[in-house]
Amino acid sequence: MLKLPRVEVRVYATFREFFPSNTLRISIEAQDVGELIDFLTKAYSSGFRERLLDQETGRLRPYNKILVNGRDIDFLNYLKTKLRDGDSIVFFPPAGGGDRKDSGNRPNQTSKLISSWKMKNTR
Amino acid sequence: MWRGERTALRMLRVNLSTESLKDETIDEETAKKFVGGRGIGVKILYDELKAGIDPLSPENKLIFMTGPATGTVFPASGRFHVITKSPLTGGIGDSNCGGNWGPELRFAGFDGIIVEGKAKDPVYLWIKNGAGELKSAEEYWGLGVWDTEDRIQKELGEKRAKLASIGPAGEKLVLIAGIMNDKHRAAGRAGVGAVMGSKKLKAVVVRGERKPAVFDPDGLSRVVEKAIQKLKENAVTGEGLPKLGTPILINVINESGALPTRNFQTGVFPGADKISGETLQKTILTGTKPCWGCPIACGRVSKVTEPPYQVEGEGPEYETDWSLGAMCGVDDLNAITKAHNICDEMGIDPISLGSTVACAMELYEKGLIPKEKLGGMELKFGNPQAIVELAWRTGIRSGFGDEIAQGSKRLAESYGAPELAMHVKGLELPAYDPRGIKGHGLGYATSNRGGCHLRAYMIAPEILGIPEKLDPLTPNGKAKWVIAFQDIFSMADSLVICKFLTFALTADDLTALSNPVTGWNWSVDDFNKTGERIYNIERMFINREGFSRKDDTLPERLLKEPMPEGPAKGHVVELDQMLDEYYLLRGWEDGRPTAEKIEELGLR
Repeated sequence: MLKLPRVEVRVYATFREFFPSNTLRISIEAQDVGELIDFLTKAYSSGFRERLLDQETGRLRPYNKILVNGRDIDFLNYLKTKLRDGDSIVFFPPAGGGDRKDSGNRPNQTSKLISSWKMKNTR
Repeated sequence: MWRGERTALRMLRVNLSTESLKDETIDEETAKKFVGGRGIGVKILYDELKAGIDPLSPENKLIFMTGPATGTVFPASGRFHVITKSPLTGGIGDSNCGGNWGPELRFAGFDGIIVEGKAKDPVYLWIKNGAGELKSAEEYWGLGVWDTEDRIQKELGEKRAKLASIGPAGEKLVLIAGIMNDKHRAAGRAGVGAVMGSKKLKAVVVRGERKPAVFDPDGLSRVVEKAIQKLKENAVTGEGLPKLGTPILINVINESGALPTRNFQTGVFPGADKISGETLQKTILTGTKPCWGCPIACGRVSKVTEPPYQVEGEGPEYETDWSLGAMCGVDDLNAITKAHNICDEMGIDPISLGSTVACAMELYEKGLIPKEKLGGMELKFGNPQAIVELAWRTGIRSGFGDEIAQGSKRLAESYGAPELAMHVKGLELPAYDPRGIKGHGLGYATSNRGGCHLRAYMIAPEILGIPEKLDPLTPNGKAKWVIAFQDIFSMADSLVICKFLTFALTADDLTALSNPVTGWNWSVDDFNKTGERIYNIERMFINREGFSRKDDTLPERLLKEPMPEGPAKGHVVELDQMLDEYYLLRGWEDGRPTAEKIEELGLR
């Protein structure tokens, strides 16, 4: 019988909203990183895959970062990087950033400056 | 600067020895070659200082500079640059600072200030709407920065005046003292605060209503609107930084195995998450704060209510969070925040403070510092009390703080273990272990001001993948990137804009924004070439002070001791090969620009 790899998954910043815990020590039905993403989405949170991957191209959305044993998957085998028993896989949203809709309404000083500049500036 | 026709930079030259103030201009030709900010500052020092002067003597000059972008609608243009000869390193001592002071100096009618000489008694400089005067600062000498700001504003009846001031640290010539603005923004590095203190200058207070003119206001507005759109859509400037601030970096750098821990003994810190941006947001964060005219708003407003580290203030920023945290083995965010705010009040560079304390901790744990010197303080890695205590002790040169005040290089040398100071050219290294991010190590080694992450921020490509992802664990192909960053960041420091813009905006974007401001019609090549010129004249300044290839190096630990654990396990920095390639591409030999390069850049 095929033994399921037992790995440690660590998630950061807004990716923590998708999971019950920041660190998951789990047996996974997945052979590589791409399959792991599918597995985590099915097991924990339906939004995860969509946040992580461009649905059309199947590639990582810009600046999302995945490390396997500390190495960026860009320098391993990308989403096809094979996973083994004892591996650690880490997921970062773009520079740890948030979903735009919960960034809140920040006053835009520079836009205000532009409008007042346009109004006051007579040459 | 612009009044619809060609004008020049308006400077105020203040001689504290003779108590004279003089209006001066810098011609447009020079402005076009060196722009403003750091570029003009270095040019002035290169022309006016003799080699070998004592940085704490009246012969040194302290320059406060804005750039053409400062105080205009150019995004994130609320900054200023301080340039002097560093008492910590003996080379170029400069630092960039946010807040509100920079724009206010331009509103007050000046692009820059040159401070010379030394006052007989403590003074402050007051500039309002084009006129400057020196006033007595006797009653403020000895005060912390926050009290100084409040009381001087009260004395002048000017609540909206902005101050650049020193705390007790600068007054007492602490070599790692900085100059503060808006109570919590720092021109921190290289001991610029000590230079200000040596001149008995307590503060520069500015207030004005003049609008800095630009060449083409409508054209600028159009380009700015597009730039702001880009900034908002970018993951780092539009989401990451506003939401979690710069401490967003703690976890990603730690997971990359490059978070310098316990004086760079390793690159993995078990307590990283406890001091991370995520934790900050959940615990002590009460708000965010932008600098003047900034759409990013990465500043953190924070409040610690739990004893014994209660404080209401700002930060910590990533660098402080690291230097008083992982670097000292401390995982107590409350203590870090308290110590950070003490640094703000005292006017101390938290990067250099944390690094020097960590150096002292390693010296102590190795039995080199006698217990009797410490007044009962346990100077061990992980002790949160030690960072708080040494923050205020260093600020007033009390007890062991007097030894921390000299920085890590002199401290380690005094105990016979110079290899335990993590500095380059005397300036303490910041929050990234180059054994795990090798291009960044080349940046550290070749930064003109010493151990600095802001001449070339290689974290962007090597960790974040901006503008593209580079493998952090290889030394190959890194030199050209370091050069590109150094040149573009020279422009950022000379226009005076926040470098965070470069997460979203390219050199093309920045050129398109600069042209309607200056009217100089630069191509991107012109833009980069100007940056190259500034980097080279800065290098010529430090060459003249005796720096060369031998100083373009890294601490022995990072060259010889393999990283003991984590993703970068087994790695050292292969500096020599990167340096050879770097000099070749720069047109330098032995760390000096060649005669041809100097000629090419019009620097002869």
